[in-house]
Formats: sequence, structure tokens, C-alpha cells
Amino acid sequence: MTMAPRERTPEEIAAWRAGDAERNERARIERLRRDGARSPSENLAEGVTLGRRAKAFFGVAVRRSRP
Amino acid sequence: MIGPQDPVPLLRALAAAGVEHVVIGGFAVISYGVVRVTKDLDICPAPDGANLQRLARCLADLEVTQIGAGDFDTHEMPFDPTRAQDLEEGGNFRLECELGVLDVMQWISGVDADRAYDVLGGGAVTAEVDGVPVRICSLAHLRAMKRAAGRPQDLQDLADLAIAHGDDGDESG
Repeated sequence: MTMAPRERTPEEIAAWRAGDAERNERARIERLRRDGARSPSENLAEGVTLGRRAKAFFGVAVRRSRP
Repeated sequence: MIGPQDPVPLLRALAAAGVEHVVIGGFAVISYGVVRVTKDLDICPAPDGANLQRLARCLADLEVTQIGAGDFDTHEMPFDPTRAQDLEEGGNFRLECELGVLDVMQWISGVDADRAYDVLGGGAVTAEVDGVPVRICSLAHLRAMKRAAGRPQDLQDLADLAIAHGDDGDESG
């Protein structure tokens, strides 16, 4: 048996969003502490991968935004 | 429009040309664990004449053009970075080419030297990316430059570096 989905109140949605932001920030801080302990080469490898993905995405976004 | 950059092709070109330099700016921030996107590659070249000749030749081969020159057209700029004697004047250049945007910085706020490399070269650390060896400025020097620049992105980088490596207190380059 499945329950019919209950509509969330605005207060519940706001609380969920606030908690999500807090969880994201906590994860970001943990990641920074972890990455700070890695070697520059390891961090550069990850940074380059991220940059390449962003560049590919950015190129697609620019092409799509052109009239 | 300038977008996210993959700095490896530029680093490879500089390495192939034998240009001695230290990486500063956003890519240096990344190497210290604040993994984010950068829109350019910032380097500080060794100021000796032979190195600047290699850099000038490399920039000419890359067919760079100057950007961020305010009201000046490229042909009106007083210094040409593809000429070693112009580089020897010690200026900074914001350049664009097929491989991306390259900032050549010889004088840098927060580094107490007429030629920044004289200070930055000493504390630099060696790393490697995609098989290309790179020298990165020290964390202390990076923080000093970021503090001196003081733009919103610099302040965010300083805050993130403090999380990654602890507060630097009164540490200076």
C-alpha cells in the first residue's frame, strides 16, 4: 500500500532548504580540509578535470544562448 | 567572452619553450586544495634576459594579443610582450591566444620586490599536471598576494585556504 503524497507546508519547505544549505556548507568545509592535506599535483589534476568539464558546459551554454 | 579555462595547454607550451616561471593566482589556489574553476593562467617569469627572450618567442609563437587595455587599441600599447626588451621593462601583461588567457605578472602587489620572481622563486613548490612540471608559489606568498589584492574572489580564496590549511595569523611572504 502506498500513501498519497502529502503537500508540504511552506514552513517545512523552508526548513528543508535551510538544512540543505547547512549540510552543503558542512560538506564543503570537510572537503576543503581533506583537499588541503593532499599534494598540489593531486589537487591540480582534480582542478583541471573540473575546468575541462566547466569549459565544455560553458561552451554549450554560450552556443545555446546565441540567437 | 572569457569562460572557464584548461590551463594545461598553456603550461605545456611554456614548458616546451623552456620558460622558467612560477604559477600564481587561481591555479595556485587550486593546487592548495581549493578546487574551483579559473578563467586564466597567471604566471610570474624569471627576469633574466635569456628567460625573457624564451618567453617573448613563446608568446609570439602563440600569437598572443593584449586584452584589458582600457581605451587603448592593441597597436597603441606602449609595450609589446613578444619583444624581450619590452618584457625587461618589468610590466604586467594580460594576454589572449588560442590556448586561453595568460597573465604575465612581473610586479605584484603584496610581494616586496621590484621583480616579484626574485621573492616567489625561492619558496616555490614543484608539482605536475598531465605530465607537465609546474612550479607553484608558496602558500605564504599566495596568501600575501591575495590579501594585497583584496577583491571578493581573493577574500573568498583566503577564507577557503584558512579552512584547508588553518589560519595563517601574521604569516607573510
